Amino acid sequence: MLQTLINCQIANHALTINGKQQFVADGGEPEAFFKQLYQHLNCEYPKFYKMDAQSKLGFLAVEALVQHYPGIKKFSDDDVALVFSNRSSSLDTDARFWKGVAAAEPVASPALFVYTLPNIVQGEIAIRNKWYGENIFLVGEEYNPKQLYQNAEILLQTGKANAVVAMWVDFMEGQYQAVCELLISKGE
Amino acid sequence: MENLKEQLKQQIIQILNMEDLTPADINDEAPLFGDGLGLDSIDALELIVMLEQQYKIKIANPEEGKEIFHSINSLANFITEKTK
Repeated sequence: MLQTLINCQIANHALTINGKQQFVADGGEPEAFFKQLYQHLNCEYPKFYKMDAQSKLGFLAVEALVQHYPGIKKFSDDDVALVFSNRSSSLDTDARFWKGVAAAEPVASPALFVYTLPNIVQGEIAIRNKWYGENIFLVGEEYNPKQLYQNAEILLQTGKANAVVAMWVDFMEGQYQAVCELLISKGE
Repeated sequence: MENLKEQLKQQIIQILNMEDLTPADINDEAPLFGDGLGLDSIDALELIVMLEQQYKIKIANPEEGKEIFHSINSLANFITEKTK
């Protein structure tokens, strides 16, 4: 059985922690909102600006999680696993890269190319938090928390992890949603 | 030359999404990589693309890159030399 220690959601220009709204922006483009949220969270991590939109979204959800549940720091670097999923894989960034190379004067941006995989967001989060445990990224039609929980449970039951950051993180053509939870085995 | 240096700083900030910086924050002589501006290997590739796109300069020998991209001064000198 699993226990959720904290739930962070980012959607509709708002950050919600355990069902309580913590930050709301007036509107505007998603990436402008991400920048506002980054500043609100006082992240001080310049690499954030180089990330693609999906990585920014996932990064911010985990930053909020770590800030609101500092107890996560008691886990050692190999203890924390990342179980993520989404609908759009890295298609938003793939399309941006393709537009660049298909233009009349082609530009193949290396900085964009490195984000043309969905699990890069996990790498960014792992580097930031020094979490070197197991990770998996699943792509499916809909947000399916059961699937995330099943994978988390396997990792926890088999001793591959002592905590799991489970997250649905999806960004496509300006539509976005992140649902991030910190899970442990019940009773621990 | 001063105009070119200023232009390079603006391009680097824009292309590498260094939103916390202004051109005034970049020292002409400070290393662009490592302890200086803190650029990484992906940034180096972006700078190579920038040279090709903006200045029509191809770096034939990758070994040269370390010297060329050492600082704003070395980059400006290289561009000036190649576009004479």
